[in-house]
Amino acid sequence: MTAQPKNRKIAAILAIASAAAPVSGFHKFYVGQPLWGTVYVLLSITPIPRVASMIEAAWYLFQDGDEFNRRFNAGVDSSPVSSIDPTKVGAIADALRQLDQLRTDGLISEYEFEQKRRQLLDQIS
Amino acid sequence: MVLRNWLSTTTKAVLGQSLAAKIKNDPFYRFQTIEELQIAAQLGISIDANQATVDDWLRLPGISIHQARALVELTHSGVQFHAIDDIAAVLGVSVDRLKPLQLVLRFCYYDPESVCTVQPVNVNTASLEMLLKVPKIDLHLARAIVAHRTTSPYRNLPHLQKRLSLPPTLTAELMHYLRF
Repeated sequence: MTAQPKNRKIAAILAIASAAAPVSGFHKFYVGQPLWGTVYVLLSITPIPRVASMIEAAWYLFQDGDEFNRRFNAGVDSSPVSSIDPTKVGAIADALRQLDQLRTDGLISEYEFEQKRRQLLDQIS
Repeated sequence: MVLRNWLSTTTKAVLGQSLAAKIKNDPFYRFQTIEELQIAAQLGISIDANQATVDDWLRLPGISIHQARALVELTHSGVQFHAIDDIAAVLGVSVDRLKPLQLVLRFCYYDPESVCTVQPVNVNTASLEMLLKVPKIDLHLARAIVAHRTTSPYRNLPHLQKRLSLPPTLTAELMHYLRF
């Protein structure tokens, strides 16, 4: 989804706003659950999403940052870049060479090779 | 009950829209189902069978990398596909199996005699006579190309340029006519 890690406070503020506003569900879109967001918007005529938003606002505020990150920032590394592990780089370099061998053998296409190469390189940092 | 039905149809519509957006925005999107092929056909996406690359063929459901490579090799060698029957014959499968692919496949005809069509030659396999047909390749250069490829094939254009020490202007003129 978005490369930017989601902020817990912004999510909570959006949840409170969505509890007060006539149309609710903004926070669901923000945390990357557009389906739930749509459901909330559609149910805006009833008080259900407003109550749910209130509960979620409290929940976002009182759970700790780590748990929030685990739930909504999976795949986005917000922690500062750790030192690069040389053994891991070596393993990825080997994997890249084997991948290139597969490409020259014609077992994977150029596009597949490039996609996998990028995925492997993303694992380094 | 009515609300639930309405909700399910709306979520389906939303999902369908996001799928259509995905298909539209990703030029390498690989279709999984015939339904996706129909969406692609509605969006006006088409694959020209006579100019498709391996990755273009792999976008179609059920086409393997070996089949894609076989098809591309044939088109590169100058074979023209005129209908889905030709593809079925090459792949050795029944025409009925490939019928759904017709939704996005186009069979455009490229006149080999036309001056607009450039049929590139493969420098690693072309005979001396075929190389001589390429403009800017004289007998001396054609012989050098043939002599150098006996040790190992040319990987790509920069490789050819380096091995034969071709001047950049000549390479720029040759690049439209050569294939590797």
